[in-house]
Amino acid sequence: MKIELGPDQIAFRDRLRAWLPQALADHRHAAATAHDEDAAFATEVAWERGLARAGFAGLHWPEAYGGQGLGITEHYLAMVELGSAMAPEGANNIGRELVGPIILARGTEDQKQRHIPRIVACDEIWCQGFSEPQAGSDLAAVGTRAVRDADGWRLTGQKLWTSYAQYADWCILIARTDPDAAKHKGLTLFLVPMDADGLTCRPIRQITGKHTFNEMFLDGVSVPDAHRLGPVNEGWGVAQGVLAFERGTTRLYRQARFAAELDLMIDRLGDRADPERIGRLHAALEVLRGHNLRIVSRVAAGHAIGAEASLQKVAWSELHMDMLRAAQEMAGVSFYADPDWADLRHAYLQAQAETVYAGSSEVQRTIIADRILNLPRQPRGDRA
Amino acid sequence: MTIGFHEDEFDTMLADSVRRALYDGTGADALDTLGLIGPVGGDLTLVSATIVARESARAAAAFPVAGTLCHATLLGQGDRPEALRAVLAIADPDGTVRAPMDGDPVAAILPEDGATRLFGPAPPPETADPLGCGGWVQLDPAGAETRQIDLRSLAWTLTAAEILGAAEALLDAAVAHLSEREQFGRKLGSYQALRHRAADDWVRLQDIRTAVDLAAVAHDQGATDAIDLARIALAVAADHGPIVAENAIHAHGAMGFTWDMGLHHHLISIRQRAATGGGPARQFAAIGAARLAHRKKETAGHGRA
Repeated sequence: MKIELGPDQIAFRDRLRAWLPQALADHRHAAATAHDEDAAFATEVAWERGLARAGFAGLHWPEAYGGQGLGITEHYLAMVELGSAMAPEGANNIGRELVGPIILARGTEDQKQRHIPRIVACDEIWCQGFSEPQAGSDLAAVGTRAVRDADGWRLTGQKLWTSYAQYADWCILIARTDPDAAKHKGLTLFLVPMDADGLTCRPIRQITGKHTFNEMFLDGVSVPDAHRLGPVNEGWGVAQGVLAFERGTTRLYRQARFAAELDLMIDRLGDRADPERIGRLHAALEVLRGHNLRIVSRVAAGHAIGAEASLQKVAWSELHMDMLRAAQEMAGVSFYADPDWADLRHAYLQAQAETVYAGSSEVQRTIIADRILNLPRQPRGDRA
Repeated sequence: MTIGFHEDEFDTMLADSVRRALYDGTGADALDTLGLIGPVGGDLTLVSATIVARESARAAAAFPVAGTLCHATLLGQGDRPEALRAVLAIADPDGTVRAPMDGDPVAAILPEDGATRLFGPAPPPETADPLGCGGWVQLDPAGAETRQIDLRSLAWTLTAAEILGAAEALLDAAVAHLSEREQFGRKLGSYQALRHRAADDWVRLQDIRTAVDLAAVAHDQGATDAIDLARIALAVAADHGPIVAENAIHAHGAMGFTWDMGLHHHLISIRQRAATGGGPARQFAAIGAARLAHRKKETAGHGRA
């Protein structure tokens, strides 16, 4: 084992380091004057478009579709720089982290040409229509139906927890195409334009006070067959294969951002910082940095990423909770009363979602128990 | 050029060779036939040495790999393993130095900041207490020889690797038991409470493994933060290892409490190694103090409180 970067990789990182400070200062100035959530969202879109114009988006995607054609290592280096600077995570993370990789892996040539360049440029905002009232952790229980008709498919049902649906241009949606098949077998992925007739959204306010979530109703929404993503009835497999890879690689910036949050905590705590607790958090952050290096190293060497991605998800989401708990216990009442702590107060409430979304901690532990430890399976119907 | 931070073919082959050798022969001789007992830093990298330490501990080989490799490094030469056999001593905050004299070592080594103290052998007391004074000897500081070489990063990383190997053996045993044993008409391993506890322990082991690899790679590359990463490896191993061990014994039910099952040997070895350098709480406090000092230096003159 030897950790080393090539001259091109160092030059790439230097270029990003040179560009970042002014771009971030401009973004923060714009964000500070945004007076409501819509305006704040617009500044995040502008930030992501700026990244793309400077050549720092779609880093490890093919040049043929507007990407930079670089490797996972450059992607990782960029994530570390952006995370350390606490840059915005972006308005289009569903497009970047979920839709883009699935289309690149399993989409038609038309779908790649149509969508990938627009995702890179942040000209197309995406939302994710996976969860439903009766299908949360048990995602394969989705009940939204897609029925074939002369024009393609007709979609009927309800989706829930659809982040940014109010701003999205497109939705990646999973629906049941064969109600007689086994739970995981009869599902298909679709790309649905958000201005389609019969599609309506209602806002849901979260515990942060913000409105990111929505519920989405599909009342006979017509979708042409050209907007089907991957084979009919194989949506589950298409999504899972890509999701495992993504679970391991998309949130690489979190470690660097959390390390920057620990700096903020230390600055604000002053003498109230307990060395042992700070040491535990610092050690856990270093371990997470190592987990990230291992994943990147394996992908760069051409290895597949499978169940071990569950380690990343559990590690970063639970470490963030540990950090924000510790901050409150050390800071005492000033955590709630001082304007200084506003960002980490928001982070703490937001962290309540992090151990749930993208597969809850329990789902990840079940994946580890099933696929890594090969323990006897839980009885059906009782599976996390 | 890529980030090379996962096991390459050489690492996998080395781990296999050590496993086979320890399966076929006794600890010291087996390692000697592979030429793996010698100074760390030349032909033997710390990455390779951690593989030897981890696999030896996993196989419950009664040979102190971490101490012996530190001894060989201190002397700067290789020799027959038995001639180099050494254990790592542990100092209390009050200055008392003790070492587990189990297995007749030729030396006890205490790595400290900037120097290493070398003690001669001492006869272990007779005892029937498996966890307690089982072989621990108080060493006389007056009789120690001090050498100006800092072996902390080596000793701590290798000790963490030994804790890792022993804890891995215990989780393997627990998973095997959970996969066979039936209660209430089902395999124990099909109950979510036990599955998730095992998954948590696997996550703990990955944390130790990653921390050990980070420290070993940093040492081999001569990185300035190698000593900090070694302290993290030891602290994480000392913190997580005992939990994995206790959970594994618990998973075996009453069987885990029997001498014949033998799980306690690993538990005791993990617990005793976890005391290295004063134990995890002190290590984490030292890590945190360094982080706080580093940040203070970084923000000095920037007008940030």
